[in-house]
Amino acid sequence: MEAARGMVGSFAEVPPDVSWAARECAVSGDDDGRLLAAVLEEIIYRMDVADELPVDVAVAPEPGGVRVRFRMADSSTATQIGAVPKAVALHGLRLARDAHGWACRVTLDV
Amino acid sequence: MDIRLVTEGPWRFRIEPTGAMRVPGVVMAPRELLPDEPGDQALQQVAHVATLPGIVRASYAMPDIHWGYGFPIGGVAATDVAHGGVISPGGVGFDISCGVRLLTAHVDRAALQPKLPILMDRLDALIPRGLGRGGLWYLADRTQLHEILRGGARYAVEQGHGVPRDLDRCEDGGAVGDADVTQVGERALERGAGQVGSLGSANHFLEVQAVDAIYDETCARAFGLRPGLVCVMIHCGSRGLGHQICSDHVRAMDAVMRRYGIDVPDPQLACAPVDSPEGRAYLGAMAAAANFARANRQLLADAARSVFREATGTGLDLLYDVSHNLAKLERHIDDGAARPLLCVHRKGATRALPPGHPDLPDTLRPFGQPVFVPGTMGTASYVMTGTTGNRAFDSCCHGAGRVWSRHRAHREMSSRQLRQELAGAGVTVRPASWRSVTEEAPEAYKDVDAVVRASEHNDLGRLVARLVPLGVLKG
Repeated sequence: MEAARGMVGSFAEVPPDVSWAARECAVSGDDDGRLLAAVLEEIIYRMDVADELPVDVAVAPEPGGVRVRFRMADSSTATQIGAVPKAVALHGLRLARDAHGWACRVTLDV
Repeated sequence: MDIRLVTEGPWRFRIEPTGAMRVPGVVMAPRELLPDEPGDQALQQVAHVATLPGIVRASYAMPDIHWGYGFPIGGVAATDVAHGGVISPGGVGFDISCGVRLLTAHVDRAALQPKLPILMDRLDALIPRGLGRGGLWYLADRTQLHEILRGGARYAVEQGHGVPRDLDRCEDGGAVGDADVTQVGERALERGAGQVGSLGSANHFLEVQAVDAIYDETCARAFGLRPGLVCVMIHCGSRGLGHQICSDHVRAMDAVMRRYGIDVPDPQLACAPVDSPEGRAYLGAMAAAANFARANRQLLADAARSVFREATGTGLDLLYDVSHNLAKLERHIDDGAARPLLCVHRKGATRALPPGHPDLPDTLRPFGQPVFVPGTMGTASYVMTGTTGNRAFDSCCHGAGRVWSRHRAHREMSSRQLRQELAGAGVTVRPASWRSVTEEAPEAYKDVDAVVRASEHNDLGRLVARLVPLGVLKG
């Protein structure tokens, strides 16, 4: 999940050897773009309510959406390096496969 | 959609209606303030807003216009409620009721200067901001959060976080009516519960400032401003709660708007008639978020007040608190005898009521509503006041307006450069993170002097005072 890593990497540096806890949830969306937005929103939500940041994200398809498995670190272990995202806009949202592989464009509100 | 931009004198442009546009676009900015980065979509967004059902008069852009999502930031649009006018959560923005409050101190710049480092250290230690730092108000339970969503700053003051005079100087007396807590989703409530009394990050701040110049002595005196006076400016909004409400209601409207025969050129413009179940649901949730934002700023102001009292022996008086991300149901006198009910969206635009307006407190009514225009942490901010004859539904600019993306700011400015620049300007900065705060470098914004000049030339407001930063707290 490069997009999730990219989002977190835009505002936080989490030490590589940090301890983590496993979390899992189901996420749904009407299309690939909305599904991507929903996964990123899940990260933002968990960051706000549980002070957690993902150090790793794995996604597996399942009926109606995807199952997301996070390795979550306490956000107090991270160093802030950019504005913290609060929402994912639908404006310009894109996730599509081309000759080079999957590519996405996501706009985050901070 | 093609954009036909026509000059209307030196201070504004008109976008002629083409395609699905129902009204023209009016961009209240001279050429040097127009977005000019390749691929910038801000002007296209002014045209997109002009396609909304029920829009009247024009799709306006303030001089600080820049590229937003759906609506441009610095966009103003009013829809006629009785004629199918819509409300769009994207026209309010994610950070519902984000706004600015300005407090005046009882101390001058020269007297404060020796105490400034200790004042900033105490604010630094006290004010939650940045990544995962919680809020000043530890709520007892969900019932108390509901009280905040219904009562806003009024509830905060009732609970001892401020003085009654604060409410007289808040837009809507510190609380919007008609908040409907049942329209606020569980995730929004969860996100808001731990964030009452927190700044956030990005362009939000708490600044200690000094009055640098006065342009209208009578008005400045009425506002309590004089040369050299120290002030505190707070810019923040409804935090995760407001963002979640916006996301939830954009998706709800996106799912139903075709049933109302509505098609929009950008999914972030999703909307529904104001007078529909979805429209009313959003208005109720938006009002709850607006109250959260006002309580949030009230808590931060009360904390700053106690720090000032400890450090200087004097307090802070609230000059005014006003939102720049909100939709309001309003009637405007220049719409003829019928005075239709309008839903006025201001996204990155400040309401600017003219002198004599009944919604202003008695002490401010003869002078117009204070409008705050934060610049950058290295330049200046302005106090303006509302004027008569404002065609943009009594709206004014809300800040300098970004010109660099956050990525470009990181590319062009190192934290070391920024530290040197601000130290050279005599500004004491206490950031949550220096690397993060480079995104807010003064060079990343338009020239705020040019923005307020353009606002004045377009009759959006009148200049009252210029403020310069002394100490900056950023998230």
